[in-house]
Order: sequence, then structure tokens, then C-alpha cells
Amino acid sequence: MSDRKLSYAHAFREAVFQAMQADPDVFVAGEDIGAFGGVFHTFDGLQKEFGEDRVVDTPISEQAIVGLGVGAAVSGLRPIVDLMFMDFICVAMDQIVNQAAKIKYMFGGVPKVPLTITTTGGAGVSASAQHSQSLEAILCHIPGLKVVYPSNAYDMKGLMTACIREDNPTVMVKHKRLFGASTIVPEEPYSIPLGVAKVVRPGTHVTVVAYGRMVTDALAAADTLAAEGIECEIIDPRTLQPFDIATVVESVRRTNHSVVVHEAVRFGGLGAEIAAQIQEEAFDYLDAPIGRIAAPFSPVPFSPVLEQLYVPDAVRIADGIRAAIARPGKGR
Amino acid sequence: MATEFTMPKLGLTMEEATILEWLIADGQPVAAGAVVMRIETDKVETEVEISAEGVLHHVAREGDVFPCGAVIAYVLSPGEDVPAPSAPSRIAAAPVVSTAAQVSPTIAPLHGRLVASPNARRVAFDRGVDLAGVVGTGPGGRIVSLDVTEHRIAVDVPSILNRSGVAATSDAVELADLLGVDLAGVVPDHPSGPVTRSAVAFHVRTRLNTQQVAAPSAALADAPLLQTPSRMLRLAGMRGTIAKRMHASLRDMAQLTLTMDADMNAVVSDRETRKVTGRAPSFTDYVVAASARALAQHPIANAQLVGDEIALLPDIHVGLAVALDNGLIVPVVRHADHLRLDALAAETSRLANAARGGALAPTDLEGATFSVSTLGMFGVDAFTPVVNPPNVAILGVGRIRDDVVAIDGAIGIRKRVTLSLTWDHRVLDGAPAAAFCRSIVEALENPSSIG
Repeated sequence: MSDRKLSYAHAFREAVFQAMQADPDVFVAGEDIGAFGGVFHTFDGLQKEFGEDRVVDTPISEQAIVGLGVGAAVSGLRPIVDLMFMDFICVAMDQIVNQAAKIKYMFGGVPKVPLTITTTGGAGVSASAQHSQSLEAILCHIPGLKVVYPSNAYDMKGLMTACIREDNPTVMVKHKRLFGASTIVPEEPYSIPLGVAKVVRPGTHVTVVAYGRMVTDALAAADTLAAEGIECEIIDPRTLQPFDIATVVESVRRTNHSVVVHEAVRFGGLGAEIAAQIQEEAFDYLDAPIGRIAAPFSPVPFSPVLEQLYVPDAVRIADGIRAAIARPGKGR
Repeated sequence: MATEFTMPKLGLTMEEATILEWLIADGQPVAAGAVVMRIETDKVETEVEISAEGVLHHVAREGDVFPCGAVIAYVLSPGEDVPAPSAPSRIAAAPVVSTAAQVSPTIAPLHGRLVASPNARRVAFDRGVDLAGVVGTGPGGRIVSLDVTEHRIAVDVPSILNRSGVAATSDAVELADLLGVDLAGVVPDHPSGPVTRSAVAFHVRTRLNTQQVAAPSAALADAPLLQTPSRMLRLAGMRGTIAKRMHASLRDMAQLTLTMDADMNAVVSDRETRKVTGRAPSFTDYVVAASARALAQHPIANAQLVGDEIALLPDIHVGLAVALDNGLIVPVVRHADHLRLDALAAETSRLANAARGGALAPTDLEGATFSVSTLGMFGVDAFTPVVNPPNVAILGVGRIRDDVVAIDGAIGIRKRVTLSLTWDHRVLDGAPAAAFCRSIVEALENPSSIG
């Protein structure tokens, strides 16, 4: 295996590029992805390589973009449609929820919908309340959709490849603060199975579930805590729907403590579902309530100072983990 | 090599004891067989010998309470250091509550609720640890699994100690698991027996029934002091045991009392006859003997409720309540129905002397199937004695008095006593209870029948 390093953005691009090379049915559509290469350079050079028919610049109409994808998918193509910001899924909700996710069920399981919706979520670039949201919980609530949220370049390429090859609608969420982050990424095409979590750091004292950008911060928190003798096991679910609860539960049964971290607001966030499933499966193995570290119940602030306070970071994650395993009565 | 000296287990039902006094000071040499301390169990004060030889090193302080098996001292070779400084696991009055108060005074723990994490409960169950003895270190004093595993390291012979604490049948374990009941809180049907399925069910029913009652009673215990007290008496040791057992008795049984008069003229004259030849039995001895014979005729009164079954007990052991300065003790006349009156009198006088001298052996205090309690010396005629669990009945004895009574249409003066029988209506009804009491009266009126 080569030790070539690639950024998160280019790992995405490479997955799309290789899929388009391998399968003429794969095409891309979205706002500013053709001549411009996408606002985050995720589609750089694709139109030059594959032409305007397979890399389509669309009008500013998210409903139409996803509708194009749904129609193309049931007609036998393998579309990738891009919504520039995750906030804009709200505009296309009817196509995503009522069409893409439902068609297979409405027509007796006959149609295949090999549609990949790609979008960019998360805060951290002072993009304000309408361009910074983490709305993955809404998508995970819809039966018929698969939702992935890679935390690094290696997983990005493998998961994006898996999404394109998947015969059911998938939503690929990229985090806008991760685009420049590089890891070793193999050149040859590879796929990471959907619905399989990854233990990114083994540990014995507490199971920390984090995804997307929060994995980086959780790893930093784990380094801090290791110096205090606290060994965190960090699990990146990678796919949020279907969720690999088995890996998490197996870990919690060993560590007896768990903390869930996400950038989305705490109320009704995916952490609530994960915590509920942990207590259903591992109640008798818990030594403390499951901690949730998430954003406050507020729109993402525009002010960079406030935004920094809003998004969980390594310090807050470390504090949350300490609280979850605290024994204040010890050492009296 | 240091030898551990642990709190001994002197009787089947002994679980803990208070160290009253070290008789050999810290750092002094001890010989094997030396009496090193005096302890107080829930039943008795006694002296404890040591079997090792060397220099005694105290780990435990006087006045503290320790579970059987806890290390309370070491015997060291001359010049040897004290081993690992593990503090002895003293039983705090209410470990969870007190810890919670120290850790997080803003969180008021629920009274009487053992706060333990699900995992701590699972680990404690797997290892046979009684959570009641574990001090919680989690937020709000919550017991976490590490407290359980560390507790096992701290307590010397935990397996025996703790298994005896929650000995339970597999059916009981299953039901307790299902209902989320902590077995440590379930009172076994028999003090030395395992917790059974029906005991768990009874425990749950009782909790359900007393939930509303429990709240005000907890509030009572929390009531502010009316005045600055002149003295506080600890509800511990014998006082604590009496408080617990008597409250449990009245709470858990369907108790009621009947009274019946017995003509004691025959007993009085029998006593006069015996006085001539030697020591005469006391009036109480006659009542104990009469009760033992009556119990043999009425097995339902010599019984014990076990879950939903009544166990008839073959042996008759009559407890005799003896008042002490600081409480009450009930030494037991074993096989009282087989003892002739003079032998029985010798035994009760031995027990009473030993009780007042603090020299009762734990075995003198175990296994009563029925009790007799006398208040006649205070001028009492009738009262409502409280059944000593797990018995089903107790007899109260009043004073011997001169009554003016009608005998065959004429007026006469007779020596009479009033007997007060309290019984558990769950086990026997009024008619059999009265018949049982009637048999005691008949035996007293015909003392030759009790030998």
C-alpha cells in the first residue's frame, strides 16, 4: 500500500472520478460544480474530464436537483446530486423524504434508486445560521435513506464509493472544516461497507461515540485524558443510518461508561437515539448516565467568538468525559 | 508474617458487632488464647480471644461497628511493619446517605434508597457482595462497580460474609432480577435461612403497601428537634435491634391480643410444697412449663410463616424476656416441653443470671419458637406483648392477685393471674388462639400435669 496522502476534499473527488471512469451510468449534477468545480473544490476538473453531459451545472433549485436525481435513478442511471449546503436539504425535503426514500416501497420493491445526495454540513467557518447547520438527525429519522458522515479522508473515499455503488438512496454529509485534512488514501478504488462502525482509538474506561468533525476533537480530548490515566475508547460510527449499535454496545459492556458527541444541537440529536439504544442493550453494564456533548439549543451564531463557544471542542469533550466517569467520593 | 485478626462470627445470625473495648492495648504483646477485646452484638456482650501470638496492632477503633470477617487488628512479629494501610470496612450508619451529603450537599439522596448504578448491582450480584455495606464514590454517593470490586479487596473474607448476607434460592434471584429488587434489602423468612421467592414477593408487596405510610414515617424521623436534647442515645446495638425487630413485627404481622384469667391457687400450693423440699420454681417457670405443654398440644402456635406456607416446628424452645438496664434480652429454654419443672427452673435461673451478668452465649439466644414476657412485678395485669419474629405468638404474664370470685354460687377469694396472648392472625384465628391459651390456663390450674 502506498503512503500517498490526500485531503478529505480530494478523496471525495477521487471516489467520484473513479466511479465515473468505471461506470458510464454515473453522473453528477449540482450548483457550481461544473466550470467552478464546487465551492469547496470537491468536483475540481470533473467537467473537463467527463464533459457537460455527465457533470451538470444546475439552476439554483434544490427541489429540481434532487428530483432530477430521483428520476434518473429510477430510470437506470446512477446519479450523484449535490446540495451546496446541508441547510438546503430543507428546500428539497419533499423530493428527499417523500420521493427518493419512498419510491421503492410505493412500487412493491421493484424500482431501484441508486441515488447519492452529497452535501456539506457543520459550523466553524462563520457561515452563519443558514449555512452551518448539522441536520443529520432529520435525515436519519426517515426510513429509506442511508446516511454517512465520514470523519477523515480515508473513510471519505471508501464511504463515497460505497454510496455510489449502493442501490438505495444515500446521503453523504461532508464537514466543511474537514476538507483540508489529509490522511493516507490508497489510489485504487475501495469501498467501506455501510453500517459498520470503526474503533478509532481503543480504551478501557469510557466509550466515546463521535462522528464527523467531532472525531478529531474527541481524539484530542482522549490524548489529554490519557495523561490523567483515563483511557477513552473512541468509536466513529461512520454510517449514521443504519447505525452500528452492536459495536458501541460491545464496547460499553467493557467500559461501563459512555459519552456521545455531536455538533448538532443536543435536543433530539442523534445522541439521544444512541444513548437510548445503549441503555436498552447495556443497562446492566452502566455505571453512570450516558453523557451527551452537543451544541446548545440555538441557531449557529455568526460571530466567530460565539461560534467557537457554540461548537463542542476537545476541552468540552474532555470535561464531559470526566463528568461521566467521575467518582467524587473517591480519595476523600 | 502478619496475622489478621478479624471480627468473629459467634452465632448463625450474627452479622456485625461493636468493639466496646480493647483489653490489650495497641502495640502490646499478646499470647495465644488471650482475651483481647469485648464486643457487643445485636444480642450479647462478650469477650473475644485471639489465637495468634505476637504484637497486637489495632486497626479498628472502639465504638465502631464491623461486619463479621472484617480485619480489625494484626498480630505482628516483633519489629515487623504493619501491612498495607487498608482501612477496615467499618459499617457506617447509612453509608450512601452520608457519602452523598459530603460529596454533593446540593443533591438530597432519597431516604432509604440504595443508590447504585445498574452495573454496580450486576457486579455485586455476580460476586455475592451485599451493596448495603459498600460506600459509593460516584456523584451523589452513587455506588459504582469499582466501589464493589474495591470493596471486595478491602473486606477480608467477603465471599462468606457477603454470601451469607444475600443467601438466596435461584427462584428468588430470578424474581428479584425481574422486579429489580435488591436482595440485600429482603428479609429472609428465617433469620438464618436463604431469601426465598416468596420472601421477595412479600418484600415487594410490603413496599407497595407501605409506600404511602413510609413517606410520613421518614418525615417523622426528620422532624426538627423540639428542644435542645439533654442527651442523644444512639439507636444501635441492642437498642437498634429491638427497634428494628419490634417495628418489623408490628408492620409485617396481623397481631392481636386476647386476655384470659387463670386460677393460680393450685400453683401457689404446689410452690409451698416444693419450698419445703428445696428451691421452688418461680411463677414464671410454671407459666413457661404450662406454655410448653400447651404448645405441644397446639402445634399451630409453634410455627413460622415461610412465604405462603406455615411451617409447623417440631421442637419447642420458649424464650423468656429479661429486662436489662439498657434494653431487653430473650434467653431461650430449649426443649422446654421435655423439662421437668425443677430442671426448667434451674435453667431459667441460669439464663437470667447470665443475662444480667452479660455472660450469655450466643447459642443461649437463638431459636425461640415462642416467648413469655412478664410485667406482673410492676403491678400490670394485662398488656399487649409484641410477637418476637419469626414466632407466631407471645404470652404476657400479669401479677398474681387476690380476686373475689363467685364459686358455685358462693363468694370466695382466689389467687389469679391474667394471661395476655398476642398472636399472628395470618397463621391462626381467634378460636384456636383461645383454645391454646385455655390449655395454658388448664395446665396452670393442674400443676401436677407439668411435673
